[in-house]
Amino acid sequence: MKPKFVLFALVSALAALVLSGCTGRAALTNSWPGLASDGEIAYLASGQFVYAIDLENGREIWRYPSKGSNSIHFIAQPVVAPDGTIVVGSSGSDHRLVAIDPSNIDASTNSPVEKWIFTEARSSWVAGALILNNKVFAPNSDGNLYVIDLQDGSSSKSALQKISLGGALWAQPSTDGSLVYVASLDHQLHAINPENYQFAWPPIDLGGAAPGTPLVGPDGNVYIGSFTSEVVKVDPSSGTDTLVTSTQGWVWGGPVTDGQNIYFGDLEGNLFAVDAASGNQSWSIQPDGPVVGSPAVMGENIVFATESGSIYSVDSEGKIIWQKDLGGQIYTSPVVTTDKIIVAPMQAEFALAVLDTDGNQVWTYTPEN
Amino acid sequence: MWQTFIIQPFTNLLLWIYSLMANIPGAFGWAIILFTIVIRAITWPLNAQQLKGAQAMQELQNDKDWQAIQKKYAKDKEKLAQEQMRVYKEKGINPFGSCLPTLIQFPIIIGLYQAIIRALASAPLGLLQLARSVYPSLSVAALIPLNSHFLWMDLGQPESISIFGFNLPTLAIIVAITTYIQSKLTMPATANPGDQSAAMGKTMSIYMPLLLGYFALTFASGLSVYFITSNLLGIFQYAVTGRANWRNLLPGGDQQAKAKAK
Repeated sequence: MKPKFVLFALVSALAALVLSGCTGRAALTNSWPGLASDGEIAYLASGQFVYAIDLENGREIWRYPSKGSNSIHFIAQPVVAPDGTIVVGSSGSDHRLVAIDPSNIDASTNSPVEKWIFTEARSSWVAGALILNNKVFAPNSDGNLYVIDLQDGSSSKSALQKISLGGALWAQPSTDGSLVYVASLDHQLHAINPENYQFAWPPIDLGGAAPGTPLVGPDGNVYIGSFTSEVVKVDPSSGTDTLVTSTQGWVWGGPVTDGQNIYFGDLEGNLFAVDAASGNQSWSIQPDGPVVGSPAVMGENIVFATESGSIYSVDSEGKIIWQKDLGGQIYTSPVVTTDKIIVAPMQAEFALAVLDTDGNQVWTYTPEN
Repeated sequence: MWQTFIIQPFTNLLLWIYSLMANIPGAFGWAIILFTIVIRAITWPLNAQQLKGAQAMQELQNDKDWQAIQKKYAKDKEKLAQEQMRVYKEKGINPFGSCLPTLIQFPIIIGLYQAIIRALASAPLGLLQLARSVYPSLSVAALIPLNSHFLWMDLGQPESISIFGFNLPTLAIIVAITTYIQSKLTMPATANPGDQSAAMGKTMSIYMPLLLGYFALTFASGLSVYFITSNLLGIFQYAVTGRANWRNLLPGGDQQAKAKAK
């Protein structure tokens, strides 16, 4: 009977190990990193830290927090407020939304000081916040949009308003200045007055989850894609939606615009351009893999990343200018400055890469332990 | 391979069941329960074989020949093992017949757990993996995100109920109790004090509830729903096949059973 005991104990231990391996908080909230830039510094929210990297040379300026913790995990896009404050939320078991002050570095830890912390949310922060009129509109996976005063001076925040929207919120809100648009995983698009927090119109049923940021287009309409493999536009005055185009796969990333076309990708590996004025599809191309993140407009060209680890630059006619294979998988939307493209791949040899406008790699960054 | 043959089919089966009852409150919890019933039905012959094997091993412990060999070769382990194998062959008993079906449960538990976590997708990468796992014949775009709430639980998180500020892990307790009851019911009476099989069964009846209770305490409560449903179905199976030893549940019941066996 002894071998049976040993066998049973071994199998039990193995089962515990395997189950543990797929359930640790970090694993539960594991996802692609969040990325932002103020033009001089790249902010990478990845794993236990938010890193500030000098865009000139790829050197780490600071990281927050100074020491990693299993309860804090970052995947949401950091957001840079007009005063330089960085707002970012944790997707770990510690559901904190924190504002950090990069101008106030603790010399002993070389880590920026927290301006304030907000701990009322009940679930993960997956999306970045929207900052409008000194208010933070922060979407949480608990289905609430929390409105927080950015400048009231308190170090421990309470929400000015908790707007319950139902389903998990994984998309950064957007605004046209008069309304805040929030898409949810439970298929809804909401429009909220940022002053009185009233809904402008009843939520629009998109028919599928919408994890991408809604776009306020050049025509004033709001464009949003969803898992129904469709992109619709919504008239913000009436709250009525119209089909713009159907795609081959689910639309994940939010659309972007160069003022003429609307650009977006799908999970079947297509990039689409739709003329905003006519509503007609201008062109579509098939890169080397699914397009999960949003494209970015850089001057006359459009830059986007594929899951296969490539970065593309295309012109407004859909002609590929260059393609650069960085390796790994790229889900995070690339961030562009006037002369740099910042990319945060997963499972690559580095955590961050910067390319110039011709697709040449300028530097890469890998965090040191 | 694990992905293709275990996680993907499990995830799709769960999603398919969920899609049939998406409008019912707590649909994902009901989907797990139905899934468990399906798995139990598929593994019914295996469980029956396990029961049969355990019974045969138990009867062997009371066999005169078996007891004689134990005494005769007590100091010669090699010879004892040879003789035991001879008896197994003669009586047509597979010594692992009661053990292997139990071991088969582990891949199911692990696969189900991974399927639950994948289906509930608590982060973007998980949702992307879910999108990739879904068979083309299954249209789930409208179903996502799955509603993870069932009764008072979030099936993607460990469960507890706050009572006077104390978080009581009710599901973990129910898992431990039902596992204990199930294992007790399957322990046949034996009159042989040196019966190693009975000793092992007794140890297991304590060890298994603790192990599964720990899993229920630590992991997503969807797994606990599986454990409880599976245990209740197991108890039902023992009862309908007439193999449940209800006396074992009573205080001193095993002593009475032993006396009866003598």
